[in-house]
Amino acid sequence: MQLGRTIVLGLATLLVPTLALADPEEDRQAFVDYYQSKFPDVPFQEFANGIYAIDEDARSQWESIESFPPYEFAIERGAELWEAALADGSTFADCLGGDASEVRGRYPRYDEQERGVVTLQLAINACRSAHGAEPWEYASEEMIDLTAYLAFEARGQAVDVQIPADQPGALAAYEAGKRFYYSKRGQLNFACADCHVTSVGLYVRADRLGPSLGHPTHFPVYRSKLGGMISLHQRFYGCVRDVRAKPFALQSDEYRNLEFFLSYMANGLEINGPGARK
Amino acid sequence: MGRAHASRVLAAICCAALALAAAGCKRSEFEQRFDEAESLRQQAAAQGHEWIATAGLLEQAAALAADGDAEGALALVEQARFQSAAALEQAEREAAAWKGRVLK
Repeated sequence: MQLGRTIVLGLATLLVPTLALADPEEDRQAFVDYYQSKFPDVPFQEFANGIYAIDEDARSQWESIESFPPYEFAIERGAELWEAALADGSTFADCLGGDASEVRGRYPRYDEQERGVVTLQLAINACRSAHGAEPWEYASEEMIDLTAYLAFEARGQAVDVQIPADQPGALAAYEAGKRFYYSKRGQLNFACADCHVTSVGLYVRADRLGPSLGHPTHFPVYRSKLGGMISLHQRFYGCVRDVRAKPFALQSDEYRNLEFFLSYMANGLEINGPGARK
Repeated sequence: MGRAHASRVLAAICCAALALAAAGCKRSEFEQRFDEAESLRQQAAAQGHEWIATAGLLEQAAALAADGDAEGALALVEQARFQSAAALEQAEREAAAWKGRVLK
């Protein structure tokens, strides 16, 4: 009897971590299945368009806006920055790769040496530092412009975030991002999932809540209400602030892990940034 | 809470302590409650669950105390302490509760 109890307890001890750390691919499939069952008429690839996948009125306005995209100037300035010489005469192509269209798709990724998630913004600043230039502020016009250009160049490529089996740190970063996404925080006691999973499609005042599936594909975005471009992390910052939690710094571990998780959920969707939102 | 903010709060507390002492108030009560609220705020922050207004409430409380408004200062400290305790409780609850929301 005692031996049986010991065996059961031993098995339970072995199983608990396994259950807590689910397979990311199972998570992703459940994520996709949820939105596809919630919006059965929306094709998978349409989720890259965020709220426009599920809101016809907003989509109609967006399609009009796309006739003269408000992010066009950002792309042009970003192209100039890509070509411009850094302090030592190098260019971004020297450290990020010669083909601009292949840069955006490599991020976010887990870096074993850095022991953390490397985003496109971190890679850009690492490149600047390595070539004698000051890093940019993450919300600076230069950073937004260059990431807008690189997103534009990568349009049509599928998001393909990897969590290699031989990189336990990658799985830990993914799990941290997943935990952040599903955890309630702030004075309003809201999780990201409360708005973008449980209440997706419902109205908050005059706006409908968009699906999280595909959220990272279209950033940076031009926001009409702000009259300017913002990054994905600025959007995270705004959401955390809006639930009356103390926001984290742009490119903090918390937001990079969240980006890693959401990007993994978006695997297979096309990169379609930069975008335009209300 | 950043270093600059901590310095401002410390300076304000010093002023507040003097002001409250001059006003014949219970200096130790303000300090004790302030410290409790700040400790809870730090614990919630360490778990990534600090609420947005708490640090500001503590700054305002210190400023009011420095101006000699003991009653107002204590009222704000109480608000901050309530928020910090609730944020910490939220952090502890969410340590396990989030798993129940994961899509399966």
